[in-house]
Amino acid sequence: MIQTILTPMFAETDASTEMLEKLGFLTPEIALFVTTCLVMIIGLSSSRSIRDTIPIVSVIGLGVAGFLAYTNQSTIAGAALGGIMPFLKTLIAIVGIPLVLLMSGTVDRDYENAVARGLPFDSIRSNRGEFYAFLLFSLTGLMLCASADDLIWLFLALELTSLPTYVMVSISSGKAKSQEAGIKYFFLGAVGAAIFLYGFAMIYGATGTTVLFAGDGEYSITTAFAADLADGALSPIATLGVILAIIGVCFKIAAVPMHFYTPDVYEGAATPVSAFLAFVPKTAGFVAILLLLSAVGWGFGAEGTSLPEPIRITLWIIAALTMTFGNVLALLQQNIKRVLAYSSVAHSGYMLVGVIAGPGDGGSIASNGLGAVLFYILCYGFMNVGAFAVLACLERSSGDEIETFEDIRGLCETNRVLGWVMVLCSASLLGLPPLLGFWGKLYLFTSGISAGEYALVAILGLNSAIAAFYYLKLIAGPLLDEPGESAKGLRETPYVGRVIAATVSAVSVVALVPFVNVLANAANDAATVTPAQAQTLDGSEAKIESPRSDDDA
Amino acid sequence: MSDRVVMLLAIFAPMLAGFVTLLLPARAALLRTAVGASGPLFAFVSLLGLLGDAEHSGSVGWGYIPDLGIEFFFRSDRLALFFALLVSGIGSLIVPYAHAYFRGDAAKIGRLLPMLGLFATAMLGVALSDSMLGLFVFWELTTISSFLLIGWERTNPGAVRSALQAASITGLGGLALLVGVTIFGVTGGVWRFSELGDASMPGWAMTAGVALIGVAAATKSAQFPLHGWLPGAMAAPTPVSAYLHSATMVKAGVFLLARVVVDLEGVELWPLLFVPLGALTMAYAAVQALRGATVKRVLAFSTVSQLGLFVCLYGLGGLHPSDPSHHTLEWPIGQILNHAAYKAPLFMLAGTMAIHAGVANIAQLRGLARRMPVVGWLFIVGLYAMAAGPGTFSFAAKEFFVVGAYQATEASHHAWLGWLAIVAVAIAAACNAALLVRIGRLVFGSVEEGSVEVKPGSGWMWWPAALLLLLQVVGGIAPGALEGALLSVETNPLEHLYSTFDLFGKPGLPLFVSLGALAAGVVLGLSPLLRKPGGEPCDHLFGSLHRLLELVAFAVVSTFQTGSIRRYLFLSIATLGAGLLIVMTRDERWLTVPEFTGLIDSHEPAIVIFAILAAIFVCVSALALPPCRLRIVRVLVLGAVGFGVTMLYLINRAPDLALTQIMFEIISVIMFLLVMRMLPERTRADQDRVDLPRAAFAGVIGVLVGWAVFHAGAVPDTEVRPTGSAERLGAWFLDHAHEGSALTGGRNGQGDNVVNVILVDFRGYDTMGEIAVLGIAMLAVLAMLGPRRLRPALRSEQVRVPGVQYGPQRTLVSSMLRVGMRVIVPLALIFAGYVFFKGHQSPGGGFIAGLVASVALIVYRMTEGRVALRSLIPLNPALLVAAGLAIALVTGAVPLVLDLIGGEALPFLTSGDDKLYLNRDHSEYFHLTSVMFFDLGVFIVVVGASVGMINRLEEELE
Repeated sequence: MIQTILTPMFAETDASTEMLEKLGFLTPEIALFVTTCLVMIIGLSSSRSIRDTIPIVSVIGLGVAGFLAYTNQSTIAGAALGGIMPFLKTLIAIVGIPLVLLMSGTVDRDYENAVARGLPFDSIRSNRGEFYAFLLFSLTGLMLCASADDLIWLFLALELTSLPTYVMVSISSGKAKSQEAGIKYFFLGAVGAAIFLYGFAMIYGATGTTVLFAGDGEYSITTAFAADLADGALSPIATLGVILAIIGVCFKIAAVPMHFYTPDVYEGAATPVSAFLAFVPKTAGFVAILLLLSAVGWGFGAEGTSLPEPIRITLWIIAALTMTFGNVLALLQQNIKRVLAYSSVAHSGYMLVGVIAGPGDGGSIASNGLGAVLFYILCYGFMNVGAFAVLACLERSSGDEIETFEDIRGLCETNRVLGWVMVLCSASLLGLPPLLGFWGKLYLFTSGISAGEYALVAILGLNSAIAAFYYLKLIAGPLLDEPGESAKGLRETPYVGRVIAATVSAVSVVALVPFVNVLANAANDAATVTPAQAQTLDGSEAKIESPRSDDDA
Repeated sequence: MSDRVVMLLAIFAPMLAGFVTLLLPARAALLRTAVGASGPLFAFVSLLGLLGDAEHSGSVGWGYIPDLGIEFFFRSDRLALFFALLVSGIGSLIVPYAHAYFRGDAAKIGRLLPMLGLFATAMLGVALSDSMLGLFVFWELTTISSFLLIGWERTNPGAVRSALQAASITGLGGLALLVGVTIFGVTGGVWRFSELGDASMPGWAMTAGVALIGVAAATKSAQFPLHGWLPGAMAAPTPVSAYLHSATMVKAGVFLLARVVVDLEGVELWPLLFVPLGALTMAYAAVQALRGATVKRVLAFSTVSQLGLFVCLYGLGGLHPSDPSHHTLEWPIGQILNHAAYKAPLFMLAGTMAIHAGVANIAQLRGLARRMPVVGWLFIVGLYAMAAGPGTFSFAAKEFFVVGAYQATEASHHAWLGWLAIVAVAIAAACNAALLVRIGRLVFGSVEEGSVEVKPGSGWMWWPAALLLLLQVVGGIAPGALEGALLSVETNPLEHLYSTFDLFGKPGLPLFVSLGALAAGVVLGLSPLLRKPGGEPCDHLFGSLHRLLELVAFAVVSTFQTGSIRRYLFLSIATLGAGLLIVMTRDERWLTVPEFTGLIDSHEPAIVIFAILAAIFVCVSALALPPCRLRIVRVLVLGAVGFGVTMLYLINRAPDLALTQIMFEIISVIMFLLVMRMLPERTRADQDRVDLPRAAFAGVIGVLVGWAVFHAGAVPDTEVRPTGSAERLGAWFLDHAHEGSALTGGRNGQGDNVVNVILVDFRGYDTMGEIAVLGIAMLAVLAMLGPRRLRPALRSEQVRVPGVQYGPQRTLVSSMLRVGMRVIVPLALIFAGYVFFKGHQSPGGGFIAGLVASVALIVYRMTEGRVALRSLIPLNPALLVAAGLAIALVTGAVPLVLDLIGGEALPFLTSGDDKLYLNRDHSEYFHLTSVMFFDLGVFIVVVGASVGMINRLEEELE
């Protein structure tokens, strides 16, 4: 809808106006932004039935944004990873829908109940509209990350993704635990942001520009790095800048050494918000890493197929530690939210394997690590939401959230639908075939092996085995155990949206399997790297004989 | 019907049949059983039809993910068909047996049938898959169904633990298989077993792939020391144990080896890996079987032992893969059939005893032959076959193995492998014979007083077992009959070996070993050796491993995951510092002092000195921060740092930035102070602590970070930009502030104040976003603080000092401040207006003006109170923010619709300008630009946001 208004407008104007082109590919973000404003306004209404339309409006907005993203195949000029944008934005909108549905009843429950009992409605006291607005803002930021072609843009988009989440954590439940979580999340997030901003500054220092990608062979960070590649190695300051930026972004993806907040914050936040945290900032972080590294390119190393050695080693260590740390610590937990938090850490480690592997020969998804990462984000989105949604759907008779293994014992017997959602999503997280998660992991394996990262793939395999210990507990508990005492006292929360979110996720984990090939190929196309033209200091263009040349190009 | 359709139907028939049973009436247990059994039976019959053509079978199927060779490609060669027939055949017998076992309990049967169907499908898929990843998918499905079936007893926590153990260990093997298969696929380009022979890949990749597949086989087929899960798996109902954990699933590993060894020739590692592994497992498990306390545990260990024999056999097969002069060990199908034909009946009979006579322990077997004659006798026949007694098929099979091993001893190299196998099989045979003797004495012993009465059971409880045992006897006594059947699936049958009588006719070492082992077994059985039942170390392997992991995890948690944000920050920053240090020490360029010329070249000496002084001031203020004890003092010192930075801006001729910085410092100091008043008092001890290590840590990090910035800042332009391209940003903006450039899409800067032009023009989109963020920040503060709560407690506690005038909220306000503010605030507001209007040409602009006005209003709010502010600005700050955003947006949108009034539509935020002449000769004019309206929006947002936030914080304190 918005596109039909905007497109002719742009068509008439001067094509050289770069800004307008950008607006052209920002249609999904604009749609989301409009929805955000609408939601904020609706939240002020004194009529309950109008306020109740907030999730519906949000879902519609996401649907429109997703449709716009899907139909809008424009790419960023000069971007090494041009195709990432439509794929990711569509994906974000799709996974955003169950996330929105999951949120119903998170912040507004007590207040709406009070209003229902006769308390006069006071728009200042209700956080409902704002909460959804923050959620949509965060999703908008995430989409903007995918559109970034400038370091400043990238930074702002990353922060737009994260800032609302700090608030969402704090206000998600009335408990002190949430506030503590919010503070922790905010402070460590600020440190993370400072570190990657510092890294960006170093990159600017080394290249003299903040432009990541520019069309028509104009000077940009990509061309500067390509010139470095022609010299054989990245300049020391640029190397340091990229490494620092990655370490800073590790906060977003919950990877070592910035992952410490994960279990505390996921536990403290209300369950739906935890689900949100496990997907949205993580995706934003991976997008940032992919964009940044696509500017660096995978043309270094002895065979010209890997990242510059210091960066590769840094990522390697981060990946190995992240996987191991996440999985080993998850073993100890009795609290399922903490288990899922650590599992979220571990999954980031898995995905980093794909990042290290790089785009491969560009021919097929089997060797394209970046495509594997994009595909994994899709898989992870669904299975993660599903697992959290089950916890969000149930509560103790006291109204407390359920969180221990004891609570979900025999769930398949007491609540067939939710029990099976838990079983399917956990099995998928574990990577059991033929569920969706397995295919996601498979591509990480193949890309890692074809990039020659055998040791890392071995660590990935071992970690998947360790993960079996706790995921199987999540499967065995609902499926094989008798319902325990605490499980019998559970009741379902009165929010249909949550059950829908859970069901949709579990169904996706199964029903998308026949389309794995289609989806993975789309991810592969999205993650096709176009090698940059080097621009050397004397202004001439050095053509680089790069093995990552692209078959489709 | 084409072969691929037949195979597809055969594979999925059991699962479909299993799921169809769910739709049948719950009480119709018999009907359900019949339908459930029809699945495997259908598979059996339809696969039989393919047998004739097995020799010419190719790879047929459908593609799925061509890139990964994930295809449903099937292959009905003899090996696959044999295995599939075994699975479906025993499956058809197990279903009716299970019906009898559960005595027609509809609920239990209803639960079991779908799982069995799923398992049979998974197993058939393993057997028939030609694509390696396809096999892996089915392989994992067998793990899942086994997991579900082991955890059958809901009330038994041990069963769930065993299920977890089995799934974890076989799951680990599955991952090894996945990696191994992927190595073959990615490095060799081979994704199908039938193409393995064509794989061209580096030797080490081949070795790694084979080793990983070996690990997979070892876990599935329970090889030492990974066998611990199989005895645990006996928690499953007996029909399941008989089917999965003895007859079929545990052979999947062996089958996998067979698949690979046939197609993959000449891997050096092969025999060295599998012969010792199999031999060790064979001997060790046989000894453990003798010590087992329960019937099922004994049978489980004997299964492990037999699996060891298979693995050993395939290991030997790798010695002479293509040498026709030796007996090829490629197709020891007879061995597998042999095992299935005695072990499955033994399990079934064990289940029958348990159900009908309550026999679970070995000791309870006493007098069984009298209590349940048929079952007792059949059991002994089964054990006789297990002990490879002469006259059974088993005897021939064992002899066949010894002959093969004996021939291996004549191999040119690795002859010791053959001897190892012979010794191991002799030990295993002796133990099995001893078992027969011991159990036989019990079974034929007298009935003990007080044993449970035998309940009558149906014939279904024993006749499937009898049917299979018949195969043993037929194979032993009339080998020709069985041979005929097996000929159709064996490629290289050792015909003479199947005839027991032939063996006696040709005495040699193999026969001697067999008979010797039997004799030794009888002696061992009568002796008191190895009689004490007991566990074995590997029972606890899984648990110990789990505990070890937990121990490690616990150590890590208590070190790192303390929940203390301080610890987290320390760890994160320490990692960062370590990273910096490593990067810097690896490249010597970091260790040189960069030449830094910019500042000194471009300024007067006096100004340089002033700059250095300002820098020293900043550093000293920063260093003064940690020693300060009081929070408020710290905030003020932090403010001092900010003012020092302001000086640096001034020196660099940036009055705008300086003004902004000053205003911002004021607002942030006020905000800090307000927030800190809400914090609890710090304890005395906390305040007095001097933490040298932390100070040193902070110092090191500071120096490292600073050093890196120093280097980055010192890189000359010429080194980072190609000639001909634009200069650094600063110079570029200076050049284009007035005339605009192509970058702005034809928009002119038309301003002399570069900072303002950047804000509203060049980076107008950013500013747009930024004010949105400011608005969000305010909403965040409002949302986090929630609805206003007045705190009566805080009010009453306040001490009133006599003679001091209090503000409207009874807070302490100096009267001088109040009086002074009455003058200063209007002036400041007027100044804000001035700065706002002048902004585009001289220092100023909407942002700074907004800050100035905010400071004025905030001070007003602090001295005069909430009510006064409310009467001055009767609007909700949130509305102000919204209005400001709207003004900015509308201003930006006007150019888009210029075509409506006859002009040309221009991009969002394009500015236009005109001169508003103030006198007639046009010498004085006010430069009117459209960006002023945009700036107005910025102004209003800044005022709304900062006043709104601070107002709300103040309210919290009142």
